[in-house]
Amino acid sequence: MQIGGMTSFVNLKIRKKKDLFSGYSFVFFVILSITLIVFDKKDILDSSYIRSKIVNSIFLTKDLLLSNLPNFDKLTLSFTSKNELILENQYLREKVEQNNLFKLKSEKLEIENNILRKELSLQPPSIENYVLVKVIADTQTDYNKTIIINAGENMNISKGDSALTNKGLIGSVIEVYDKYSRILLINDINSKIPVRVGKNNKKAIISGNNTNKMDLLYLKENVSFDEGDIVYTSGDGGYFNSGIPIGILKQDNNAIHIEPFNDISEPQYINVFINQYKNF
Amino acid sequence: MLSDIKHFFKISFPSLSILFLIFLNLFISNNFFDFGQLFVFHAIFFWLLYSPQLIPFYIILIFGILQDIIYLTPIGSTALIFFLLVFLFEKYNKFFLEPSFFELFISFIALFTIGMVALWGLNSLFNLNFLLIDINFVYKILLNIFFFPINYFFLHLFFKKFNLNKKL
Repeated sequence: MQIGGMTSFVNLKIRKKKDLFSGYSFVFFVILSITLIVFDKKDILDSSYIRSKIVNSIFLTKDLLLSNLPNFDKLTLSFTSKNELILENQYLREKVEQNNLFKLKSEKLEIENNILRKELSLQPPSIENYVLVKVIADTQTDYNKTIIINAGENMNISKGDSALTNKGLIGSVIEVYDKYSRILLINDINSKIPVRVGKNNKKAIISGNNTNKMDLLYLKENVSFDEGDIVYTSGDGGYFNSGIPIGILKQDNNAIHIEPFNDISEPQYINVFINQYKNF
Repeated sequence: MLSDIKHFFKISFPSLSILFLIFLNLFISNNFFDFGQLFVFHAIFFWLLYSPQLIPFYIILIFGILQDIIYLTPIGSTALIFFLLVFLFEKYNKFFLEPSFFELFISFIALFTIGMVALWGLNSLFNLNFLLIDINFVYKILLNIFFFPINYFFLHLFFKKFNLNKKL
């Protein structure tokens, strides 16, 4: 004798067979899907507005649900022993001292940087505005490499702003919602970035191909590169600021590709640079 | 009043389970396993088998569009893949009268693989270029094959629990 639930799970029998294709409804929905695709691809349908509203609703609902859950971290904190608190306090004091030192060093570097900028007669941006954001949803698929971050119009982020980490460029903002934005990663097939390669500043375009290795396109004839050359944004076209490191040049059997400095598969925290030179 | 709510919950349970899988894939499982866009086909396949009247085509279209919005693919593309799979499922369903779980599992593997290839083909068409297929493609298929019986088990459990096989 078998247990009821398991019997029916293993020996599955379909009880009813219903015709899914009664009438022309199936054909209608297939045609509707194709029409939507054509409208979206040809920009007849303003999908950005719909996307904005729906993405906002999804993530606001998620935030609302999470904020109403009991905070287990706080519960465990109340059970922390006195010794642990003393140790933690000591550790935090050391951290503060260390950070103050870093702050002093950075201020010194900033002063030095300003002097050098003046020497070079470069006009610095009036405000250097970085926004540190968190990746809240990894929406990367095999064919689209995008992520969603937790800052949008509320943090003055706009389309075209560059997204980077301390290692280098990671992507650019392509859609901005009220409190969220979508970033197109540099390895997406639709990502094309004007760059300069190596010490000789040879110009090229790098293109993503949905893998972790990017292609180098539009090279002049008889141009040679050295393995290990660093690739920077050139700033051409005014989309990205110049001099942002992207990756390193690698050669495999005479084929050239660029390996990004960042681990693009799992980004967590990103700086979005409010690009003041855009369309300059 | 309460019975109305119960009835509403029952008839919307298949849709809710699909919605749950969409959000599970987006917010939770993505940190551990990348199931891909066709993860919700697990639930669609199950409900097509047991209660096709509870997932009408417009529901499949809406969830397809929702996936397109989340993953920034052209609106309607995921729904089109689902409709292709529904069409193939219907053909298969007429062929086998009373399939065992093993037969269903094999048919799911076949349909899912066709879906993945169709998704690749459609994306290649959008980009006017043959997109690269790497090991992740196979990994995703294997991962979905591995998790299908688990999803199936839970869906079947709820199916029995809510008596969804009875006429609603």
